[in-house]
Amino acid sequence: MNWRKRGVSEVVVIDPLMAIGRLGPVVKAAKSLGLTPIAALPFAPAHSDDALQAQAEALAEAGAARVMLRDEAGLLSPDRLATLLPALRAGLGAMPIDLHLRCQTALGPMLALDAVRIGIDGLDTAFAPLANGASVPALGTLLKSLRMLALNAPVSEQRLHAIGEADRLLAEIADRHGFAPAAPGSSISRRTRISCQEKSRQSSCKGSTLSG
Amino acid sequence: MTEMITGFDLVAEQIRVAAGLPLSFTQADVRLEGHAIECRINAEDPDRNFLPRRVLISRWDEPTGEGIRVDTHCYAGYTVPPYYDSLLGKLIAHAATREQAVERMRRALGELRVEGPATTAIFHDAVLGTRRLRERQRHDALGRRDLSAAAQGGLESRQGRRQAGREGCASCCRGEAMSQPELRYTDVSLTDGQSARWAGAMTTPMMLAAASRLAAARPAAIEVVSPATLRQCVARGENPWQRIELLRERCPDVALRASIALLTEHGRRGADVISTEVATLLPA
Repeated sequence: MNWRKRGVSEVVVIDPLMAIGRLGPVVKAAKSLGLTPIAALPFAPAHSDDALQAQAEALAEAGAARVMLRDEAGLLSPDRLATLLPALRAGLGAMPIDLHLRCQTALGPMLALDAVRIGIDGLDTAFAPLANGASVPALGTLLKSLRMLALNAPVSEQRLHAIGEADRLLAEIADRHGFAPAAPGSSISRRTRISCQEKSRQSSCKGSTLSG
Repeated sequence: MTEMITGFDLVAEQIRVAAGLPLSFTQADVRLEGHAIECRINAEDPDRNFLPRRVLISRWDEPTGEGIRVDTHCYAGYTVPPYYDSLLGKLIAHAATREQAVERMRRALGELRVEGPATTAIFHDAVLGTRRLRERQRHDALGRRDLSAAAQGGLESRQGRRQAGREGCASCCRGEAMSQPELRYTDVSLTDGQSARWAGAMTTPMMLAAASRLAAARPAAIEVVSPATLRQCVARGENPWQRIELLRERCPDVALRASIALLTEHGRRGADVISTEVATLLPA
């Protein structure tokens, strides 16, 4: 109703407790609102592949259009991914599987590449200044890595340029408002800071909260 | 395969026979040595029910090495024509034992690099990786039901090879880069990204300033609502519905996504929870 009217077309439904009894009605409610329901499958290392596969199957039976494996705590490892993704695929058949990774252990970008190698349908990414760390992998780096490894559809220079432009704009916002830079020593952030500092010197821009 | 395990050039023998000459050997001379496997590399997409395609081969690198043979007419720049079948080549592996031949074939499949068409290489690799095939329980009806299992086997084998320090071999099987469907990337910069990196300090005007630039990078979807940013938006006195509408205006061609978490406080269950979440978002 309101969601759809205002332009939202898909919704990720997350239940940290994975109580299918209450997730099911929510998934159905989302469907009745005209939304594509994406059911989150929270990852916990203690849960076996079989257990997660069974949960994924339950999400599919509950009416989810896609299932999203979510590793909010960044605890997934490449070795675990290599057994877990095939298990989920076996349980879900043709249903699309999405992946939401975090980068606390710095393995996120590598896991994303592995997921593409193994076979994944969707990935959550962010632009560089808002990626990595406790966030998700960076889109630009991922696409460049995929291109170097000849994985997935080739990405055009124009698109990489557009991603770079978005990275730069967000880095400028970070610098302007004193937000954390993209990454320690990141070229984007450093470059933006330098250009912003020069601009600030030229126009004696007051109120600039440049960090570093 | 026969030539590999017998060592005889059968085509040469056929030409001899056609010329009226006798075979150059007798049955007593034929000794079978080792095991050979053949994989037919076709310009067909295993992920699309083996749909063949007329397409330009932009890269064709064959595997080489002991016991490996490739019979092919393909080269980089060759266009797979629509007039005949989609066979690109025959990849044959020969070794002393069946297990070695399988391993050799999988290594060769990993080294084969074909760009342009999707090929059956990855399917063969997956089939060769199945436990059933390794345990010689193969049959000629390996079909749809076995495909997912076969894919799993392929994945396991790929992981195994990566661990063995040969990372990337298997990925080369996915050389069908030009015809592979693109992954669906959803941008979560405005939600999880800024929550994690900027402590959720991004306001609606900041998001609007960046929105069209984000959309220009062509993500499949942009997430505009998450549990944390929803709370922050409301706490800041901003209207989340208005934020969504304004972002919709700035990004007319990108799907918008919301993520909601079911609250875990006691007493809230099922449909009540979503109505609570939806109610939170309803305009005052």
